[in-house]
Formats: sequence, structure tokens, C-alpha cells
Amino acid sequence: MASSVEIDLCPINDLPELVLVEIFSYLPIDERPALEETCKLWYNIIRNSPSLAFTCTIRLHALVEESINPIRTRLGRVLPRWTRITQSQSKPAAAIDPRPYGYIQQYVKRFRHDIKHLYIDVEQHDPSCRYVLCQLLTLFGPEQCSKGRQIRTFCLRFTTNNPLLMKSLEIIQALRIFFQYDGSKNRRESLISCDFSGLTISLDDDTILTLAKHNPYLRKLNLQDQSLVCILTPFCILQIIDMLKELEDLWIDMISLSDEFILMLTGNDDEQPFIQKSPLKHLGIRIRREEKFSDEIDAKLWQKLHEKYPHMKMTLNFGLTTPPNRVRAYLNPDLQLPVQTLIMNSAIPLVDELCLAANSFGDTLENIHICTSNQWAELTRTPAFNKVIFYIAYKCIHLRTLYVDAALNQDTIEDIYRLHPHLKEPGASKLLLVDNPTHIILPEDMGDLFG
Amino acid sequence: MATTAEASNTTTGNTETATGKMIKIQSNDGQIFEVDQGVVEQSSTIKTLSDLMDVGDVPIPLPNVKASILGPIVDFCNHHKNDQKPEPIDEDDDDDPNKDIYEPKRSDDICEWDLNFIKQFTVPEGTLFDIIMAANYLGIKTLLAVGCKTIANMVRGKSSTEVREMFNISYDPPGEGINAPNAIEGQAGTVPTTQDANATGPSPQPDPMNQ
Repeated sequence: MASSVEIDLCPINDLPELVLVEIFSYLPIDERPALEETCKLWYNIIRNSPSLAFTCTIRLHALVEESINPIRTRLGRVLPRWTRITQSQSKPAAAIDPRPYGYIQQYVKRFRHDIKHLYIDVEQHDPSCRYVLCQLLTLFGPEQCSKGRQIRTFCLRFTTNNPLLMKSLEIIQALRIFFQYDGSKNRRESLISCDFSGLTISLDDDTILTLAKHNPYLRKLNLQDQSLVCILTPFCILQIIDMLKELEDLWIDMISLSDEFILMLTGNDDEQPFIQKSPLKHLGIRIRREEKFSDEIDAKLWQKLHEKYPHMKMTLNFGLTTPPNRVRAYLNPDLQLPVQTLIMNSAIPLVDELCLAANSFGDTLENIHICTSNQWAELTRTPAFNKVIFYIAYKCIHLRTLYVDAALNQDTIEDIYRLHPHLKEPGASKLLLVDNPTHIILPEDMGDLFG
Repeated sequence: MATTAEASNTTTGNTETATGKMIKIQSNDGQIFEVDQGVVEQSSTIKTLSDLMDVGDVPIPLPNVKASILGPIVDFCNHHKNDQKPEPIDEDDDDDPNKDIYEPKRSDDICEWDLNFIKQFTVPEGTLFDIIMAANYLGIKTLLAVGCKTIANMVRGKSSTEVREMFNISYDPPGEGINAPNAIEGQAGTVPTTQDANATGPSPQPDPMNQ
């Protein structure tokens, strides 16, 4: 018990150690050095508790050394202090300086065999952050982790944008080393969940195939990275489906899908009656402007998918640049898509499309997110738009969340709340009286985006 | 909704109403609270005790909780008894597919009601720790999480000096600071890290398969 440390009137240290561990577990690693210095007890817990390391949230911020205070006011060591800098400020020197991240690196190194859930947020415009990220990922590779690791959840996010569209090959390379760790022999060493939706670099076939090959027990895989173009080929996706027999939740781009993908999932009853059906429960599909060049959609195939997976749910995410005719093509009721979540990013008013969605997916839709751009926000502020939002709320009997970032009339909002009172709960809805567009399109980007 | 349905299922056999039988609990200073099955369900300790003792009208004694803390806890549980229950998670079972592996731990998701609730307990009076202690003792995970998140939010971004002041921790440098970590790591054995098997996963670590 904590009371072994002799401190008077210090109720926090009378809490059971397990509770202290839970408190610390809510703080990311970069917050912990200060806690370590607080007292012996905390130091010992943070340094020595593997259970605290089970969930590891790492934030790599761009930092710069504080130039202040050369006068030593206190005795003892004087460590350099670091302050965060934003992307717009430029560093004095662009040289790689891993010093501020020493604590994180040491911590991860010490507990690399214990970590179960690894979340990394990186300000990837900063070269030092990129460097440290690569170092950290490599720590988990087969070479440096020969004693085994047990990471189940892995999520890597870039928290600043990537204006130069850097390919960051060094990060891809480090990711490959990370994925080369072979978890295929022991279920407890295989990754279970992998989320790349926060990456602003393109993942390639090789990397993803390495991941799938060594982690056959993956259940959740999000491959919808934020790079402008998806370069994963249909062939790669087919391989993944073949290798990952337990996949339940898959998020991909439509461009990586093929008719064969559906054929593979549905199988053929006559030929292979014993084939193990994949337990897919959710399929997230993002549709972007690459769609312009796509083929006709085979409605029969999608119907078959629905028949084979009656409990599967879908998320449809239409990118800002998806041609309207393609949007309508996927909203076609003939496809019988079991859409649970619909995310519509659109620069132009989409009254017809929403109406179609309401008619097609009324029975299954639970979450609707409508994101507009600043360009034509005024055009959305029409009676027709209000009407269609109400209509979709009326048709979707299971509606749980509704986010609309364009202004609605007071009456419409009240009507919707009358229909679905639970939308009033915090987080369930965003219905506004003034526009708050999600996307800001600069005039000079117009050609790029829609050209 | 599920809780009430469940509660009525378990109790229809031996008690009167569908709302579930009432159970009495007694704080260490003698005050008695009457709670229904929806509240009992949230506290693993009370649930175990009530199952074990099969109490009739005798109040269950809770020697570690005083009335001024137990009262608010009953309110908390009453407010949350109709919440959607998370899937039952067996924390030790690594192969449980329903383990909530997908979301990172965060402390900024305390709902408004809980925020207001926890505000009445403070550090200077020590009541915040009392409520965390009690939640831990009673096995009310949701309340324990709210308390721990609140403290985590308090120390976030603070320097060690500020943290020490905030919680009245006396200055107790770890060895010579992190300059001499070995001095401390030598005593690592004094830190109980394995006894907490129920909350942290399979012990012993690491898995023998890895060796």
C-alpha cells in the first residue's frame, strides 16, 4: 500500500497504487517526467509499472530549446527546457535534434515488451519528430524486439498537415520494419487493430502486405489515409482479404475495390462449400474523385454481398471532389447497400442526393454527417435544403447522430428535435443557425480539386 | 433499459415487484440507504455481498464508506442506472474479441452531469480522494474512472512543484533525481506490480511463449 511512504496528510498517496496507475494512465508519456519528479512513490510507479505501459500514448511535438534564464536560480542540475513551436514558426536550425524526446524513447525502450496499445501522434512537418518516430517504430521491429512484443492496437496519426506532400519514405520504411515483426505464430503477438486514417502519406501495397502477412489475426484495419491519392491496388486488397480470416472491420477507398473483392467475400456456394466465410461486420468505403474514371457498378454483386452478410453495416464517405453522378450511382436503392453511416463532403448543394439517400437507406442509416465548403454555403441555405434535412431525419427511424455544418432554419431544427428527442443529447447532433463550413477551399485550389 | 429488464428477470422469482427488490446498505457511521437493483448492479462489491448474504431486511454494512460519501454515490448510481452498459469486458482475457481495444484512453470525455457531480468534491478537503477510495472499494468502475480522469486533468501540464503543492506532497526527491535512477531501480522489488492481476491482464509477464 502507498502508506509505506511516510508522508503526513497526503491523501493522494494513500490511494491504492492501482488507482494511481489508473490516474497516470490517462496522461500521455510526455506528461510523465514532471510526475516522476514529484515524489519517490510516483517515480517508482511510473518507472516500474508495466501495467501503466499497457496503454502508451505518445505525442511527438515540434519543440525548440528555450533560450531564457542562463542565471541558475536553484542549485542542482539545469536541464534544457523545451517549448512547443507551431508549424508557421520556423526553427532556428532545421537540424535533427532528438534530445527533447529522450524520455519517450527510453520509456518505450524499457517497456517495449509490455505495451499493448500504442497510439502515436506526430507533428510530422518537424524533421526531429520524424526522426524520433522512425526510431520508435524500429524499436518494435523483429531485430530489436527479439524477446517478443504484444502490441494489439496500433494507431499512428500525423497532427500537422503535409503541405509539401512529402512521401516520407523513411517513415514508410520504419513502418515496414514495425510490421515485419512476425505475430503469425502466436495470436497474442499479432496486431488486432490498425488505424492509419490519420496519416498524410500514402501507404503502398508492400507495406500493407507485410502488415497482413505477419498479423493474420487483425480484426480492424483502417486504410483510409489522408493523402490525396490512394495507391493501394485492388490486387493488394484481395490478398489482404485472403490472409486476414478474422477481419471484422475494414475501411478502404473505393478505388482499391474490384468486383473480384466482392466475389471473394461472397464465395461461390457450389464450388467451395467449405470455405470459411470472413466475419466481416463493417465495411467503410470512401469515394473520391478517382471515381470519375471508374466502371459501371454491378448492382447484382452488391446485392449478393448483402445477402451473404445480412448483418454487415457500411459507412459511405463521399469526398469533396466526387462527381455528383457517381454519388447518385452509389446511392442507388438497387445496390441495397446497408449503409449505417453516411458522410457527405460536398462543395455544392446536394439536395437531390440527400433525398435519394433518405429513400434508399432510411431503414439502416444511423449517422449522417454533412460537410460543406465555404464556397457555396449560401447556396445551401435554401428552403429545399431545410426540407431535405428534415425529410432524411423523418425517413431514418434509427437516427442516432446528425451533423450538418450549414445553417438551418430554427423551425427545421425544432421539428427534427421533436422527431428525435435523443438528438438533443450532447454529441448526438450539430444543427446550426449559422454556417460553419468544414472545408475551406482557396480559389487557387479550385482547378486542382475539380479540374 | 436493459438493466431494469435484467433486474426484473433475476428477481421475479422471489420478490414482489418488477422494479426489483430494494436492498439496504449501511455506512460506517450508521446511516442506512435503500437502493434498488439498478444501483446494486453498478457496484461489484455490493452485488457480491448481496448475493452472498442473501439479505432480507438486514442492511449490508460498508465499513469503509461514510454517509457523506455514500449518499452522493447512491445519487451517482441512480443517475447512471439506465445508461447503456458497455459490453461486459473480461479484463484478463486477452483473446476476448470484444475487448475495447480500439479507443485510446482519454480524460476529456467526462459528461456534463458527472463534471458537476465531481465538482462538489475537492482536494483541500480530501473528499475527492474519499470518493475515489470509495468507488474503488465498492467496485464502481464508471465513478472510479471519473475521479481518476479528474485528477489526471488537474496534473496535466503542471510542473512537479505545482503538483506537490496541489496535493500537499512533501518534497521527497527520488534518489538524486533522475540523475541517479539506479539507486531507485535497485529497490524495484518493493513496488508491487504483480498483485494487481485483476486489473492489468495476465500475470506473470511476459508470456512464457515468448521466451
